[in-house]
Amino acid sequence: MVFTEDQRREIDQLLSTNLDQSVTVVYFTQDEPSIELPVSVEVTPCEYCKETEDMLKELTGISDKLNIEVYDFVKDKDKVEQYGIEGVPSLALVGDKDYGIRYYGIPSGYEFSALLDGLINVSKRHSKLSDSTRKALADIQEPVHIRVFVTPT
Amino acid sequence: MAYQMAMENDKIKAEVFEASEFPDLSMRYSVMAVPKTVINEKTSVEGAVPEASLLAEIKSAIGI
Repeated sequence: MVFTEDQRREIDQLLSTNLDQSVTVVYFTQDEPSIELPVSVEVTPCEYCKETEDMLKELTGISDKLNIEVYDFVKDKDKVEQYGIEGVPSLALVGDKDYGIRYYGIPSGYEFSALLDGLINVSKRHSKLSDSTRKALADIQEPVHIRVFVTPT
Repeated sequence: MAYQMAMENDKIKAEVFEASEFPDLSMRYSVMAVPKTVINEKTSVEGAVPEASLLAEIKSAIGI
């Protein structure tokens, strides 16, 4: 159990009142080192992968509208390429299509709230942006790649 | 906010990185303070970016 009973209840309440359609969390992990080592040593290829996976599995288990798919960064090359994944742990939030939403790292603290918010928006299949912003964004013809760097608080 | 923008157009991709877990990328984009938003490798803003400012930054990054 990653969440306490109270946290579970709070998340359940938030999700059950806000989720609309289904969302898939496409999660990327790594359980083997990327390079072959000449000697057998204890290596952790990804410090927070297990913890992140446990948390996401428990989270997606709270609502039947949430699904999780787990892929390996080294073994599942086709999925890594499909989602343009640059490292682990990482996840994509996918609705009836891939919206280009990715999170890299363990979503803790404020970033956990941002993850819940992302799940809710994808589930509703629309953002909460103003009409004028949405119109301006819809007109964009060129690729835009936004990278936001954060630290957990 | 970046996630919501990505939802509005398939050409927009929004990635959030936990900076301390991805030191190489943080170094590549000279992340000294967080949050830091980098658009198309060139435009960058430090600090929280409200909706209108982020839209303006996106427009400036693609030259419209």
